[in-house]
Amino acid sequence: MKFLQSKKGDTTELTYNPLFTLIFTAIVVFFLFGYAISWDDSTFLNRNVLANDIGLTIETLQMAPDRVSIDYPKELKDVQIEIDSDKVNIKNIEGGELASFTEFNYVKITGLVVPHIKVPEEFSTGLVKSKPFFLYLSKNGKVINAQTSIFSTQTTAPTQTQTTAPTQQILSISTTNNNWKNEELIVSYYEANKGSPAYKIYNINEETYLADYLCNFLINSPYFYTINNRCAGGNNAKIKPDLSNAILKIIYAFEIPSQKDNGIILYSFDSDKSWKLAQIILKNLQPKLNQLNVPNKNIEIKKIVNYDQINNLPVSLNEQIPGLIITIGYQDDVINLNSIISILNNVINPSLQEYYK
Amino acid sequence: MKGKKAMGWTLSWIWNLLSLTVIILIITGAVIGTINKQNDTKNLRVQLLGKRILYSPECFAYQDTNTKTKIGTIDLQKVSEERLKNCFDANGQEIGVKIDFKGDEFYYNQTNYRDIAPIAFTKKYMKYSDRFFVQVVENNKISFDYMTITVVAKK
Repeated sequence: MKFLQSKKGDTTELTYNPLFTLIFTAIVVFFLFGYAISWDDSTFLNRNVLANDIGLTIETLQMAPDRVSIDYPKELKDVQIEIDSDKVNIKNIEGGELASFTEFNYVKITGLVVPHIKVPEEFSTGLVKSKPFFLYLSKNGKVINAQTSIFSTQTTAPTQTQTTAPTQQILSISTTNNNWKNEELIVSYYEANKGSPAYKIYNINEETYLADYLCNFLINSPYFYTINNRCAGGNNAKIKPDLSNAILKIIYAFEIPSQKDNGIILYSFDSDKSWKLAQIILKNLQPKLNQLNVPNKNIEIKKIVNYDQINNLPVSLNEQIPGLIITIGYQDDVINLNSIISILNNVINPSLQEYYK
Repeated sequence: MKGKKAMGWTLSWIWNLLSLTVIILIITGAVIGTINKQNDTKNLRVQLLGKRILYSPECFAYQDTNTKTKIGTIDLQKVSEERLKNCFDANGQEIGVKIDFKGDEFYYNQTNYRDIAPIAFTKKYMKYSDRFFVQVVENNKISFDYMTITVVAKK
């Protein structure tokens, strides 16, 4: 009707108004279609469902007794799954952004460990990018772990025999926080074989618990903090009782050498950072091996990749997953122990500085 | 007059834009809300928490001499509030558990339970309750009984 009533000035309105409306509508429709297609492409919806589903699966694993292994019955692609003790993150491998995440009502069984798991780790190296993979979750004792398997040509889920028993599964345990560069370094220690002679060391005049000795030694070290309940005596000021900030933990495990003495072994958990640090420590420790008064001077680094290795470690990890464990045999006397720790500390500190550089 | 017309034209566009944006937001919100509701698994999770009591050796489930767990079999020696505390380690989660067994009541987070249970029907809370026929082991003797597990939690 306006057209009929229009005067000179209205001509512009009648020409451009529908034109702008059309353009505006086209733009809106274009973006809405894009949004709808992204849903159809499942980038948002599927990953939200995936996070929920994996979270539920893990909660079910917590409930289940004994050893359980689950093959997640879905081929996954272009995503990286990060599992922590209180959440499951699904990350978009292309952009590295968080695509979806869910917190589960995490009420864990006491003592149950859900280490930081990132699968598949191979994405970081670009080896398996965009290849489909399957996820396996398992509960072994009190540890929940995850592994992936890549099937570039296979499209069906693997059979039970291919999934392997939990003991053969590959773990992917990172340090508790990948940003430990900017965090405090916490060194802990472990007194091997409680109840054995190694538990006590003998000074000239007094009998001292190995733990107390190490405790005092490390507390007085200018570089490291120590954490251990046994450190409570007299040095509370420097004790960090809260392990939540422990980013990198290095555990020294001293043992009186037995027939199984394998020399000095640096165990690195399956994390690129820990492995790199272990290599630097190995390189720096090798020239000082002659100074170490240990029965077996063979030295090697090992990556912990399966659950059996964790069980066979001379330390009880409980909930503390360290970055590195250094096992070393030693002669049962305090002066020698003192010397070994000094050398280790003198190697580890510059190694860390070298690593950060 | 031209100025007024131009202003009216601009204003109408602003209104169009605003109303369209609001409509899009409402539709998107409704769709996302519906999807999230469809994906809501919290009620299922509460069930998992409740059944843990029967399934997990850390809770009440019986373990034989070979440390094999007998699901659904209760070790009478384990039935206690202390055990319930060890069984759940709620990291700040607002849950409460009540067990009715052999005429006794056992609680985990009794205060939470009593606070939430009466209003568990509301949208903010959830409740799972089930009665199980269980095998009970006491000093190697087997008997049968009913156990009622009620779990309440905040959504």
